[in-house]
Amino acid sequence: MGSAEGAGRPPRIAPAPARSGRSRPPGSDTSDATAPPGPVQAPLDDSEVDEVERALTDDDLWSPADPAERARVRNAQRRLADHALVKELAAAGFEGPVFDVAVTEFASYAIAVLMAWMRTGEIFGKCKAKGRPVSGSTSDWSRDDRLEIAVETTARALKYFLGEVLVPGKWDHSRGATLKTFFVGACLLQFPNEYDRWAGEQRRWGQPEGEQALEQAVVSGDPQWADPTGDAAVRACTVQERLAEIPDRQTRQAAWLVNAYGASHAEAGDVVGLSADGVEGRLYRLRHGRPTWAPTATR
Amino acid sequence: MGADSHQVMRVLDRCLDTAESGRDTAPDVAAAAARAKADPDMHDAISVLLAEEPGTTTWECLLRFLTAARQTEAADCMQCSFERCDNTGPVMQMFSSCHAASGVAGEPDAEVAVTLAQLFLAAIMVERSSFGDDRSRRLRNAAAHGDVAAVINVWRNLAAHKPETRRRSRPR
Repeated sequence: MGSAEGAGRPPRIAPAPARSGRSRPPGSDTSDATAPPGPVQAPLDDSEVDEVERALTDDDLWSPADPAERARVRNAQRRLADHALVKELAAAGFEGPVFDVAVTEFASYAIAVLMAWMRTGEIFGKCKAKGRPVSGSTSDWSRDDRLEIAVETTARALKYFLGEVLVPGKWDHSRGATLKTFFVGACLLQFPNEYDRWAGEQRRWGQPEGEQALEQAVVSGDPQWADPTGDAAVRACTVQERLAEIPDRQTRQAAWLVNAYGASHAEAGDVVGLSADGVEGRLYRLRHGRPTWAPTATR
Repeated sequence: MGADSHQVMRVLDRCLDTAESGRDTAPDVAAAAARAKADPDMHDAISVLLAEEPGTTTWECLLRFLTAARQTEAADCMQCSFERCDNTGPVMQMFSSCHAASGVAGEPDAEVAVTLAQLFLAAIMVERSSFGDDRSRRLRNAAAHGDVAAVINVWRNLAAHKPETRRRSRPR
């Protein structure tokens, strides 16, 4: 320590350096020549500085008047946290409980973003900006359609992001893009392919000859579509569902006998204690009160 | 970072709801998670960990625990990871809550406790990451569990190179 002075460097406790006029307090006429010799007395105690430090807040440290700077600092913090997460995922070999949580949250985020972008049509602009233009419009799809595309796109993006980016260690937290940004970028890269695949399917379904061929096959009893038990099974299910909706016990039993067993109105009336006309009237009101009722014609 | 302990619970729920159905420990972990979520000490510990700066003793303790959970048997995990940790620290508190919640008929299950603690700590790490800012959090919470599960299912099939079970939309 003591050798520092001998080497020409300033002593540890040095006199106050000469100040420039610019840094001198306004109105001060004290010249350096009048300063007392010896060590300079510190104007504050350590405890006072400690107190100031304790009272500092984030707003004091980052100028609230500069939101861009503040956002930059926060972004850096998030990227450090991203880095910690990716390190942990890598250490676990991209499997296990931590990995399960991360993948679930990646998927949750992506599916929500894609659904929103598809709803507004912003997805097309984003893809175009990335050099992957897609020809489409928001009027082309229902919510189910969007969901289908979002699910497929997110799954493919996950596969790419994990297999091609995170596992090989290609995401670098120091390069400016957060993990989230990188992942959404992966979704955008996958979207055009998935959209084209979906649009192709829609075109095939929409072809008239396809629908006609399907209809013809059903009508003509094509063995590919034939199921001898299918009609009876569907009818039985329909009857059961409709019967459950009838609150009156007599009417329900009569309807069951007529529709499920093919009993006449008179036969059904004998069993439930009604006349044939009574059964017919009740079933008529039932049919007309509930238009979807009556899977078969009554006798 | 703006997140609270309830958000961590939501992340945990989402993961358990969308977990692979064949996992043996899932039902036990879910039951233990339900008990742990009701523990006020758990919420306190999560809140502290969410606000903790990287590089602190507490944060080092968290990372040590995750390392020990990966590298040791569940029964040894606690001793290995907490040897150099403060007994009253939030990670220790969290693990204690998980340990207590893992018990069936008064008998704690070390494996369930360690898995549950890993899930909680993972959720905390996600909330601190870029996926944890306010808007991102709202978006993640807006996703339906069933849709997220569908993504995970398709992704697992893709990852395993299995034939895809694509959902076909209705013809228009």
